Amino acid sequence: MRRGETLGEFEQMVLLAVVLLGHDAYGTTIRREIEERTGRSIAIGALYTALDRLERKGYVASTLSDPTPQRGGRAKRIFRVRPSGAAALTRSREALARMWAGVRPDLLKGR
Amino acid sequence: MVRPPRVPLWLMRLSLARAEREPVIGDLVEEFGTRALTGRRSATVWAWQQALRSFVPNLERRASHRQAGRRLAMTKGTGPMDGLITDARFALRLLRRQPLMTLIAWLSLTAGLGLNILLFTLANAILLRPLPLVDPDRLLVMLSQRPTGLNHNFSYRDYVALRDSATTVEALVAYSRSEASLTGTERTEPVRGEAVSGNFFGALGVPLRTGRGLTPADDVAGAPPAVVVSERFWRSHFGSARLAGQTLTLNGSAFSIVGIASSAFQGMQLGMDASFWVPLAHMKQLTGSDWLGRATVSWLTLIVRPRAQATPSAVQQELNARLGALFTDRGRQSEAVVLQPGARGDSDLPARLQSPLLLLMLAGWLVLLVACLNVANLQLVRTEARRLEFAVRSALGAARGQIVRLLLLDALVLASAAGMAGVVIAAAMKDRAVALMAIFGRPVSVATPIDLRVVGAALLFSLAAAIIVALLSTLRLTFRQPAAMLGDGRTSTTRGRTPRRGLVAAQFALAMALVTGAALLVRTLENLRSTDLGFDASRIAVIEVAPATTSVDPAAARTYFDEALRRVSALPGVERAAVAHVMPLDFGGSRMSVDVQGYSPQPDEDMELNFVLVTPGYFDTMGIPVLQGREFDGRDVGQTPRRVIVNEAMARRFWPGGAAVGRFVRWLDSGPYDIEVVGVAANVHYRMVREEPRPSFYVPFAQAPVRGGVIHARLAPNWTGRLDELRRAVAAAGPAMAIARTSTLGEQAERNIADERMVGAIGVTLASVALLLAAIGLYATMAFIVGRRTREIGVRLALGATAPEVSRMVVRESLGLVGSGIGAGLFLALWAGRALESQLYGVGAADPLSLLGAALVLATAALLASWVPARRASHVDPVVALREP
Repeated sequence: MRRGETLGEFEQMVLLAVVLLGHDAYGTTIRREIEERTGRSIAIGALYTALDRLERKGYVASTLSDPTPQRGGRAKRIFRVRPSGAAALTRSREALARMWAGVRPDLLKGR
Repeated sequence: MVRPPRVPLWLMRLSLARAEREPVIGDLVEEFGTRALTGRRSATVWAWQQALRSFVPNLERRASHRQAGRRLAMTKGTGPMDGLITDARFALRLLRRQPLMTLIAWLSLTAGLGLNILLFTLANAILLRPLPLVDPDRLLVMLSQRPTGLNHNFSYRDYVALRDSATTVEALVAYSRSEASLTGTERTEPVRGEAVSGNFFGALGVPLRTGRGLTPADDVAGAPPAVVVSERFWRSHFGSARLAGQTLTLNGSAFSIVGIASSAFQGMQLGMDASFWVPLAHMKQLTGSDWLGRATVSWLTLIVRPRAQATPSAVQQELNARLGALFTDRGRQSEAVVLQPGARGDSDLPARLQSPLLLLMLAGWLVLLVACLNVANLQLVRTEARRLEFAVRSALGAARGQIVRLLLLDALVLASAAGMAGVVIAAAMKDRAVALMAIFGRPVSVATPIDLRVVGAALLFSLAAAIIVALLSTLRLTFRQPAAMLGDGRTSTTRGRTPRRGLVAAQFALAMALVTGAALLVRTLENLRSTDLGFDASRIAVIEVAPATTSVDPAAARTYFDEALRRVSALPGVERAAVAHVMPLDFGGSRMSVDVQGYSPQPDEDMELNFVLVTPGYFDTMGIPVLQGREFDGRDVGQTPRRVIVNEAMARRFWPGGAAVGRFVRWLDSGPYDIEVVGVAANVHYRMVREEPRPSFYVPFAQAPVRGGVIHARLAPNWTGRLDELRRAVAAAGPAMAIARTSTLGEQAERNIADERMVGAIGVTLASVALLLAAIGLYATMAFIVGRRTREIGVRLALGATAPEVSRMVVRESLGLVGSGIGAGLFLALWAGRALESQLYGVGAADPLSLLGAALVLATAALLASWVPARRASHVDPVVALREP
């Protein structure tokens, strides 16, 4: 993967949710975190597509947990952020911050 | 833990790669469990949303997992399925890229598939689905062959003798339809149920909601009266009460409710909604007469459950021998036993609706074919646009099969989306369609689930549609060489029009057949409605009453009817009133053997004729002319002298010379000929609108032991909407009888032709959809042709052609196209008329008026569809058109 690549908005949200959740980041909790914080309803399929992409870029890593009874004895796929993911987040945030610098509220009114 | 609904789970699993299934499905299950705690319904909605919204992303992810670097959709694969997902993803993308085209194609297929799935749902419920019994496919209905047709009923004595002696039979079950007046609630109401043998519940395996079924111990004289009620009846009459200690008062006798049948079971007669089941032993309490002891009264339907080892022919042989022995003992002519499949009980609904439903399904397939042609037509426009892509692929080494596969995938994606929507449409429309049906003039009650069979049919229809669409849209593609395809970019003006034109013509040919068929059905309905029934249907009200308790004897009934007639006649809007024991156009009626003095019947001649018991004034009330002699009057209110009025058909059959009045008949085979014919009445359509009047006769009401009847009232023209007042007058005549039905004979006639109305309504719907689809197809084609010929039109205009001339040219072209379709459709329409022949009434299969009408309708639709393209053509600006490359 190319160095310095920026993240899409949804990718950022997913990555941030993984960071926030720490050791408990898997499909259901990530989805719930994003839904609760943004009010957006997320399809499981779309979420895994994003996670998949993040994993291929090397931003997150995943492992299968032990089976849990609430899930009918199915395992969870636990995600955690890798250093390059954290770096990408920071990079995106800084890039955005630089862009936001100097944007006054009245400029946002549009025409 | 609450499990999510099966279908979303399955959809999710289907779309996921194997490695992903465990964690992702786990997520779905977990969150569903949490959500279900607060609301089961919203959790279900959520699961469906998730499954549907995740479907495409899952497939895309799965594809990208496999593809690993292969970006171009076309692959030189190693296995037959290789690259399939990639192609599917590609197909989806393309469909999404042309939303309008995709929407029209999807709507066309959805209409076609939805109608077919709906028709199949109906056919499944009526022709295929077995009753919810244990091993229903092993059940047989026992009938016997009579010279006049199949006999469905046996006497109780015959039943008991067969039940106790047959060795090849595990169980012989008997039942009979039964109607009773329910009292003890706010008002007396008629309820329908079945009287059944003690082994009915056990041997058939009737599913119960709660309590117990009836047992042989309930079916003995002197046993405490027990009844099982239907779930629907329980809910409407007892709500959430506890079962223990509840009773039901039927015809004045109390039965204790011992069980509730599951809602899946509505009785042995498909379409009839049974509310209760009582043991045969208690028929006396219910009807007041002892039917069990009478060997000559046949009233029971018999269901056979053969032993596991017994073959049907062995069972048939044994029952044949035993029934033969019983009949010879009684000195009756023996009748051969006929066994028919009993998985759907013994109802005439399947037999009656089988050919109409099959015909409608056939018409449905034609509509689907029109839809497929439509989609293929649109696909051709798209493949035209993709020609370059195909050429490139082909040049890069894609096999022809792979391109076809791509088109097939395209069609499959479209058809499966349309199939799913079709199931939804069928589910939404099915109750409305069932409401069109009737059995014996009453609404049909039949469960029409979207079960596995329907889903299977939906899949099959969708697959077939996809294949047809794919084949039609590759028609011209696969015959081309890549070089030619690459070379011929956009210069052509005429090429590529032939297959498309063929498709449109074919659409109109099919639509011609369907519209003609619909016209024939509408004409049939019109003819039925304008049939002269022989009486003044719209102005006659009928009120059917039945004894409220078994203590009402014929004498009490006569007193009651005198009083009811007095009260009804006193109403200002009633011109005349009379009583008969049955009402016209009610399918049934009574039959009796007649022995005519001086007439010797042929050995096989059917001497059983329909008859009606009527009070004086009946013919005047009904408006039936008495052609010879007189009508019944004050001289005919006693038991004797015995008299009869015959109809014209009967007079012509037995006294062809003319003078029927003054002749004599008798009912029995012995005794004097002492029943005098006093009049000849004009023929009426008594049983069915569709049926030619049969020989039949009328007997004074007072001369037969009748306990119920139908009050007929001839209303003043402004009173036809005031049946309630009539009803109140009858109700005030006393508590002996309960009102079972109130209607006018006009309504009765409409119910009598319910089959034709249903077939007509569905037929017209099918034809309209086909017509609409054909018009859309024509529009799209003409728009395309005009678009391709902009340059040519520009040249014409520049050289002096006027705008109206150009418009006319386009319209002429489209009419030419449609004309060839209609011409070819003529043959299809003649064939369709022949197929419909059994459903028609008063109109020939090759009715010129219907054919002409259909052609006109089609031509009008074609004019409308080509109007917009024609206008567009006439507005072409020559300067702009000529400047285009």
